[in-house]
Amino acid sequence: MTRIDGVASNLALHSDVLADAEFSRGGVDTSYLARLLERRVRAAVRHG
Amino acid sequence: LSIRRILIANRGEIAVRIARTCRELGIETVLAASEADRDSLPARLVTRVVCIGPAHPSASYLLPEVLVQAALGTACDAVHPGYGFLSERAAFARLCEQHGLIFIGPASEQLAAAGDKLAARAVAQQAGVPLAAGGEVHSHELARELAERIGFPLLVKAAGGGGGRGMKLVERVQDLEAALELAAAEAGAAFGDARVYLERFASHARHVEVQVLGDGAGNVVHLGERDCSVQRRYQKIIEETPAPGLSVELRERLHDAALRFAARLKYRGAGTVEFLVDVTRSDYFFLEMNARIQVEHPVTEAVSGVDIVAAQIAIAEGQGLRQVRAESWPEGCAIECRINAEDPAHDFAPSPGVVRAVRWPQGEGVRVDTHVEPAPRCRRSTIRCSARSSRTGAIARRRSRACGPRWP
Repeated sequence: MTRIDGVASNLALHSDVLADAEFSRGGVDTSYLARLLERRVRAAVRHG
Repeated sequence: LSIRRILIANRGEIAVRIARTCRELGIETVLAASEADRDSLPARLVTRVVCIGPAHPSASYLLPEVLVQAALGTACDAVHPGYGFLSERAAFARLCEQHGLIFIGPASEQLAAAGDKLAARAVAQQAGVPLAAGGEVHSHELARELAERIGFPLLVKAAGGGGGRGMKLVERVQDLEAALELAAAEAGAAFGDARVYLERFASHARHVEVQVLGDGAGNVVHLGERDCSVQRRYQKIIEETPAPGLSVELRERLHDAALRFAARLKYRGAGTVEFLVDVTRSDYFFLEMNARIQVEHPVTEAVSGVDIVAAQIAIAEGQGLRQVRAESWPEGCAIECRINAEDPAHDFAPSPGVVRAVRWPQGEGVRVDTHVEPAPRCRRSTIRCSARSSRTGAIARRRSRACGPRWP
């Protein structure tokens, strides 16, 4: 487990990618991360 | 030829990485450090530190004359440029050569050919490596004509360098002129070279690159490929090897193309040949060559057993590829996560600050490359966590353990 206190980091993004089914299947393309971030935004809006 | 003392012309985790291998090899190291980096972690790992100027890189790490004088003044016989900064500047390599210093990297003319993206496209063509449709543009009129032939969307790219700087995606012809102006201005500022070229944009391709090593006499080997498709704004976030889901035939074609390109240059040292790959069509084309060690080299080291920094030094000493050939066939799989100081709440803007506490992952097959320690100001925090295993299931558990929010 990695923990960093004091500065903002992209650690949570890594957690999301590693837990993502599309990434786990393997073979994502260069547009993958933009799609994942869009999904995160949509989910955040849905949950207020 | 035996190298006794190396000037490390860099900072951060790559300086740590080079210092560690040199220590194992019994080679003395001198760190060229700015005023801000004199007390950094790499400064404590080297034999000696020499201050090369103020904190801003333009007044220190980007001054070839200052670095060469630092090497000569500390009786170094070689310079390791790491990555970034002057690592791909042919003029820096040439200056080292002129002063009798061994540049641990390609010859200056090879750097000139690989660093100039248009020259590299020409080498790829000569080597029979497929290229994306495109070419240099000298006027808006010619650019429009070429763009119509290529089709939209397309990329305007800088001829003088990479890393996403001077690169613009253009979706409509009416946006082309502005993109050309902007890209040329960015490229001029970043690389001192405002030339740009157009290239067909592949929206759903994968970024796969092949690690190569060459002895400078035309002998080249590869250490397998890395998949670097998880990117944000052309910056790699996660890299893994081998690239998942490639057919054996496509994988071999990529390896062969990389070797043909490197052999054509009679490449010396470590380098990476980058491709865009369309797996659905089993097709690929050349992107560029990075004529230096890459940030993501640890995943290749994990599966090949090759210490790439040691290989660079052996090649620079004239030992060729003997050490590499005996052990270089990649085995197993590895993945790397780049943990950056950037703020997800503000569109991942850089977030420098003071690192108050850190806890690194541990365990079999987990490796952390970093220069970050708690307390000092964290200016440019990059931490790479990589995990390796012979089985994909095991690596999934290890990478989650290394980079996940909690233990699984």
